[in-house]
Amino acid sequence: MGVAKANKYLFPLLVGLAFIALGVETYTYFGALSKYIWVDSRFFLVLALVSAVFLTGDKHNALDSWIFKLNSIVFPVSALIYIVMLFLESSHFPNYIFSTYHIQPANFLYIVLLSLGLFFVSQLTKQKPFFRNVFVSRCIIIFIFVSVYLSGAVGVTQAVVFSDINVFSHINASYDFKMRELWGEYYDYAKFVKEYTPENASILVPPQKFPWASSGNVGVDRYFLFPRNLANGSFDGPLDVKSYDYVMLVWREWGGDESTFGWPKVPIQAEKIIYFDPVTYSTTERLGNYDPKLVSADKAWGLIKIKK
Amino acid sequence: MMTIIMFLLGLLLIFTFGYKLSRILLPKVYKLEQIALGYVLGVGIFTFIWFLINWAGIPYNLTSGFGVLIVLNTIVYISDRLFNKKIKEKYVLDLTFFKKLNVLEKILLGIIVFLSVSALIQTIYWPIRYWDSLVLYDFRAKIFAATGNMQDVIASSYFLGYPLLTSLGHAWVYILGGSNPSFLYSIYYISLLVVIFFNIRKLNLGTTLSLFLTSMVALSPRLFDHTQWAYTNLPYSIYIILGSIYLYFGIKKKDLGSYIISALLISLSTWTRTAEPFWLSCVITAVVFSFFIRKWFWPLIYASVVASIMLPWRVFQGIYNLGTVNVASQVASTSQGVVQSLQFSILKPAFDFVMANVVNMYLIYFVLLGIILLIKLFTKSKEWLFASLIILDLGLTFAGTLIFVKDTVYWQDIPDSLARMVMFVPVLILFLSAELLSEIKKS
Repeated sequence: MGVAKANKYLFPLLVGLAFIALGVETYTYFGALSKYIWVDSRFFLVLALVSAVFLTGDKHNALDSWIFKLNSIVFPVSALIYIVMLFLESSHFPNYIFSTYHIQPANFLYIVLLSLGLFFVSQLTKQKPFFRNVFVSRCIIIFIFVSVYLSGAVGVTQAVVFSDINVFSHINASYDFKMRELWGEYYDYAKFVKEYTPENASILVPPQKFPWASSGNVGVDRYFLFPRNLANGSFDGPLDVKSYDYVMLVWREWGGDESTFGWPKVPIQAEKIIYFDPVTYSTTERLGNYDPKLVSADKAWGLIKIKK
Repeated sequence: MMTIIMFLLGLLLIFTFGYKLSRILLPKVYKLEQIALGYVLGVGIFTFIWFLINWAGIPYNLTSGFGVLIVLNTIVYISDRLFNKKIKEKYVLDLTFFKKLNVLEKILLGIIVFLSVSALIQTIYWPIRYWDSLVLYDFRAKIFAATGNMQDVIASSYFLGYPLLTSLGHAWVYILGGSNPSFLYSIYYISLLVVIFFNIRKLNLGTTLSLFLTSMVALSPRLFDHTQWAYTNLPYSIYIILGSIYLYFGIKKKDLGSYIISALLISLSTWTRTAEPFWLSCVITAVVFSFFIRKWFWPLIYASVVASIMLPWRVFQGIYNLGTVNVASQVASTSQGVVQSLQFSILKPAFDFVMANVVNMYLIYFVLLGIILLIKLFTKSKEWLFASLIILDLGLTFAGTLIFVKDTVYWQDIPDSLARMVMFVPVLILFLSAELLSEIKKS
C-alpha cells in the first residue's frame, strides 16, 4: 500500500485524534497527555495537518469530504467561542473561564488553529496544480505551517487579542495609569520626587542593584527627573552627602531579599524628611535627621533634604 | 486645530517624499508598495538630513524640520517630473483586487489587517514605556525637542553610541505637538507587511501564497512585540529585510532602481544601529553578484550610497572619540580579531551561546532553512543570491559573537540582545522559501 493510500485511511483517524487530544488538554492543561504517552496534543495537531496537506493532490473520498465540510462549520463556531471566552475573561477577571467552566482559553486556541489549518488545506485543493502535485512545495508549505505554529504565532495571536481587549476596556485611561501598569510604585515615586525638588537639585539615588533596579538606575531616573543632577550612592558604606541637596529614601522595587530592603542604610544629617505613601500618594514631613532603623520599621519611601 | 493640521502635515510630507523617491527608482511597482516603502525611506532620509543640518548649527525645531521636508519634497517632485514623464498610472491597486479574493485569501488578509490595526491601536494607546527606550532613545528625543541641540547628548558618550534615526523620529513627533511617538513603529511594521506582500507577488506565486507568507511574516516571533517596545531593533530589522529583498530583485532583474533602493535601505540600517555588521553581507553580496551579471560599475554605486549615510555619522562619532571613521580598517581589525578567536576555549562557548540564543530560539526556521538548502543543492539550483545573503548574515552573527566572547566579561548576561539582533532572519528564511517555491513552479 502506497504512502498516499495509507494517508487516506489515516487522515480521519489523525484529525479525530488531534481534536480529542486538544480537547483533553483544553480541559486539563498542556502536557497532561505527555505524562502518559510522552507527547502533548500539539504532536497530534501537527500530524493531522501534515496528513491533510498530503491529501491535497488526490480526489477526496466521501469521508474526507465530509470531514472538510464539517470543519468549515467547526472553524467559525470555534473561533466565535474563543472570542466570547476572551471577552468574558476580560469583563470578569483573569482565569474566569477556567475557574468557572474548567476550560483553558489558551489551549482552546489550538483547536481553532487546527480547524483553520484544515480549512486552509481544503482551500488549497482548489488552487492551481502546482500546489497540489509537487511534493517539495507541499513539504515547504507544511514546514512553514509548523514553523509558525511552533515559533510562537499562537502566543502572538493570543497576546494581541488580549491586549486589544485590554485597550478597549481601559480606553480612557490616563498616562499615569498606563505607566503605573509597567513601572508600579516607582512611577509614582518618581513623580513625587519631581514635584518636591527644584530642576537644579542634586539628588543622590540608591546604588544600581536589586532591590532598587529602577530608582538605582540613573538612566531611568533621568527620564523622569531631567534636568536634575543625579548620582548613585554606595550600598551600605558612608555617604558623602554634602554636595547633594536631596537623598532618595527608597524601600524596594523588585528583586533582592528582605535583608537588603530600605536605603540609605547609614544615618544622615538632614534638614527634614518628606515621606511618601505609594498607596495613597500622600506626603508627610518630619524635621530632623535620618535614622535608617526608624524608617526601616515603616518600610518608608521619601526624600531626605540635606542640612546645609 | 492648527496643531493637528501641522502634525498631520509633518507626517504627510515624510510619506510624500518617500513615495516620490520610490516612484523615481521603482516606477513600475504598485502604488501601495511605493507608499509603504516611501515611509521606511522617508523617515530614515529625513532624520538623517535633519541631523546633518543640526550638525551645521541649525537647531531642531518646527522650521528646520519643515524646511528639510519641503526641500526634499521639491527635489523629488522635480526629479519625478523629469524622469517619470511617461509612467501610466496602471499600477494602482484598485478595489477589484479585494473583490476577486476567495474565502481563504480573505481570511489571510483578515489576519494581516487584524494584526496591523492592532499594532496601530496599541501603539496609539500605550506611551513609550520600556526600559531602553526611556533611558536612551526617547530620552534623547525629549532633549532634542526641548533644547533644539545635541549638547546634552554629546556630553554623555553613552548617548552617542547609537545613531539617531529613531530618536529624531520621536523628536519630530514631539516638536509637531504629539505626545506619543510609538505609532511610528506600528507604521514600520505595516509598511513591512505591505512591501513583503508585493515583493512575494513579484515571484509569481499568486495571491493565496503571497498572502499566506505575508501573514506568516506578520506572525513571526518578536516582530509584533517590537512594535510596542520603541527599540531600534524593529526598524533595523526592516531595513535589513527589505534591503536584502530589493538587492535580490536588483540583481535578478538587473534593475538598477531596486539595486539603489537596496543600497539606501542598507545604509539606513547603519543610521539605525551600528553595533551589528549585517550591512556588510549585503555589500559583499552586491559586489560579488554585480560582477556575475557583468554590471561592473554597480558595486561602486552601491558602496557610494551606503557610505554616504554611514560615514557622516562615523565622522561625527569620531570627533568625540567614539569609534573610527575608517570602515575598511575596522573590518580588517575585526576580521583579525575573529581569526585570533579561533581557539577552542572561545569557539566552544561562542558556539553554545549562538546555539542557545539564535538556533534554538528560532529552531524550526533553521530546520526549514536546512531543508531549503538541501533541496537547492540536490536540484542544482541556480538561484543562490538570497541563500548566500542569509548564510553570510549567520556567519557574521557567529563572528560577532566570537569577538563579543573574547572581548567582554559580561557576554553571558545579555542573551536576549542576540536573539533580538537576529530577529530578521526568520523573515529572510520565509522569503527564501517563497523564492524556492517560485523556482519549483518555473521548473
